[in-house]
Amino acid sequence: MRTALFIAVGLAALAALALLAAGSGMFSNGPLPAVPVPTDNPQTDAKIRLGKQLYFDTRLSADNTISCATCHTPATGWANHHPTDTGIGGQVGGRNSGTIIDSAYMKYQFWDGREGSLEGQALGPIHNPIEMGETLENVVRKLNAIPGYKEQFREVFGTDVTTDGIAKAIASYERTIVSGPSPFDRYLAGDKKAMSKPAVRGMNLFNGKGHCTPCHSGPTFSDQSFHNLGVGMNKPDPDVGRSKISGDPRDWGRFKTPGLRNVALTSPYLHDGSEKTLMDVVSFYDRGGIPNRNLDPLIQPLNLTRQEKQDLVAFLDALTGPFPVDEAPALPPDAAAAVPVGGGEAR
Amino acid sequence: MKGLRLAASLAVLTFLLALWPSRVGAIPVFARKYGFRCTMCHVQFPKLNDFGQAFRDNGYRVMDKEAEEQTAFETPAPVALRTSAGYNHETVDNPGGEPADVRALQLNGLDLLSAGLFSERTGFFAIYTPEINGSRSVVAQDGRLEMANLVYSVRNAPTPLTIRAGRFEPAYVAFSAKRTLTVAPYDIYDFTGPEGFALSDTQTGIELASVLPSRIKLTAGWVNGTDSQTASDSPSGLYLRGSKTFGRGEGQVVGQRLGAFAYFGRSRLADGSGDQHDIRRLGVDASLNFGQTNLMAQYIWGEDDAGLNIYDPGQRYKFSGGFVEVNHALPGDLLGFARWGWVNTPTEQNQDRKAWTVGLRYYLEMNVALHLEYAKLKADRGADDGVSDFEDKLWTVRADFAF
Repeated sequence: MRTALFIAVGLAALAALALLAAGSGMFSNGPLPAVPVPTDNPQTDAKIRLGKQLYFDTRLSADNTISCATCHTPATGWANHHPTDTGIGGQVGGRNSGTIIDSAYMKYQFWDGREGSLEGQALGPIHNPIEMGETLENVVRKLNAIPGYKEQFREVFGTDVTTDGIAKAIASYERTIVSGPSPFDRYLAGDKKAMSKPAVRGMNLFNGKGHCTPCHSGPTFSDQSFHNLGVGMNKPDPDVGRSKISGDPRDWGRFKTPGLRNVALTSPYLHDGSEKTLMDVVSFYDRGGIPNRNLDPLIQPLNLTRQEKQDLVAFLDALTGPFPVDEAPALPPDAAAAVPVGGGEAR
Repeated sequence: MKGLRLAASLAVLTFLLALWPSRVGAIPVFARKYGFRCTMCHVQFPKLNDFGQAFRDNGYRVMDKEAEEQTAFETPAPVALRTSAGYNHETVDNPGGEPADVRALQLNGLDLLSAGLFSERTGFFAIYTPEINGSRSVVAQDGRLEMANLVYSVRNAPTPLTIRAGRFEPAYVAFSAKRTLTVAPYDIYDFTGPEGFALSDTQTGIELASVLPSRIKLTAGWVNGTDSQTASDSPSGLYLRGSKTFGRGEGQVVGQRLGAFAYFGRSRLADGSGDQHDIRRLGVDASLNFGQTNLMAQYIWGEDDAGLNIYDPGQRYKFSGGFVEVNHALPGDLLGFARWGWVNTPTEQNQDRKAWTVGLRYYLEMNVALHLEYAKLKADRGADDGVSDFEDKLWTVRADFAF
């Protein structure tokens, strides 16, 4: 009798505890919250409009050929399909261009996390010698010579064109490039038909045998941290990533965990664009990355079957949600020009 | 009485309905804490995969996420239970002893588990089995604190180093007796000589574990020894185990792991009488993986001093045994397993044992397995002593739950 009572009370207590705990978890994925906006750079329509023009304007580069949109192209998931990109003078960079979609949620910007805000990120490519190759002073000088920009900066910031204003305007625009509910989000919200059966199986693998969640956690599917998967470590003189920024030897070979929303649209993958398809990426993880002296202990062979790999890819496909695909806006013409400049065009 | 049974039944029903299957995310302790599915750490529960093994070895902390860990005070209540219920058909042919013939729907024991972190570097794990009086519908169970241990991960050690203290499953058990896929136990781990020492028993003591840069895992422990020890006996078991995995992984699902252990202890006879005498155990083991197939093998030698040999006084008591198990993950949430084990005892004891088991587990949910198993244990009483062999045959179909 006492046993029955013990079991009854114990089970009831555990049921209550389990119900209280349902839905929680340190590494749970879930819907995106509202876009975080820094208090010193509130969103305004005028600022977003200005940022959009700057984003598409090739005049921010040294030879007026490269804009943000050149590498982060709206029509290709705000990234592009090149393993690494070509900057001014035909120079080829060493890292894959990450998507702008949902970058507003990322704690770190760039693969090595060298910037902690979109404002900081926005200026980086402009003065990177192999991307846009321009000096910030020269960009300010050039834009101040364009009446349309000067006027807008006065309206938005109350000043002439400044690097700070450029950064804030572009960042504000990038904060509008966020993804809407994906089939995964709709599934979580209760629409059990939103995802296919393979995608549901893939979701379970993602948070189970696939061991994806410890790093690809949270609403963005990124732990906002850095990991060494061994990418490129089998090549001479490998890119050592985060450690060059932090100076910490523990960061050797580590790169930022990218978010996975809309990942199906942004091939190729990994920081050097070395994996062409999502199936290739899943197979890379299945092999346990590339061994090296600082390989992350989370990276272990997975022993996935072919079906399981396909299911994981189906789940990653189900993270694709709607997002803005902006056309290049009309840009303020140079002082001497009579007509607006077409965005993204070489001049 | 009827009211109590009704209350118990309602509680069980409520519990299952509350968790089934829309709550498959709400599962035991660690899964709830992290929001993981069981299969993050288990091949299929209860067997650990490589991630789960590394997590355990890391003091119940997710590797490379130690700084983000939350303690048990910050997470959902770290409690869980495991039980199984189903149809058992067990016949025991025991010449000279009590025969048995059970054909019944039964609840097969209950484990209450708690685990987590007390601090960034201190983990804990406990299993309590409440006392259950046996009846036709409930299998009897001793009330005991099966495990209760703290695991401290040493800061700034030259290689990863953990110290486990309390009551735990010692590392010399290469294949956890607590996380078997089978209902039938590993017979060689359960086998006891006259000193009453079973390798599958949890021990109270302290254990140090480290992984060398060469990926050799070394574990050393100092434990109380067998339950035949008296209160005044000092801790009397020392052991050392080493293992190495060839290839990546921990040898659970990927990689090929080879291991060996040595245990040296002192013990009295099982009833606690007499003086202490030396006991020794040596073992080698292998866990080999081929695709979705895992082959496990264990071989053990045992030797006790002559003072413990009640069967042939004056002679050392020697035995050996082992098992070979294969399990294979089949498509469609199905897992098949088969094991053959044996124990060779001294001629005088005349208790050579053969055990085999075969079965399937179908995972209705990741934390609910439908389990079908046939197991047979046969103890040879010798061909010419006129006594029949001991046989224990079990058919079981049960649902194995972990919530």
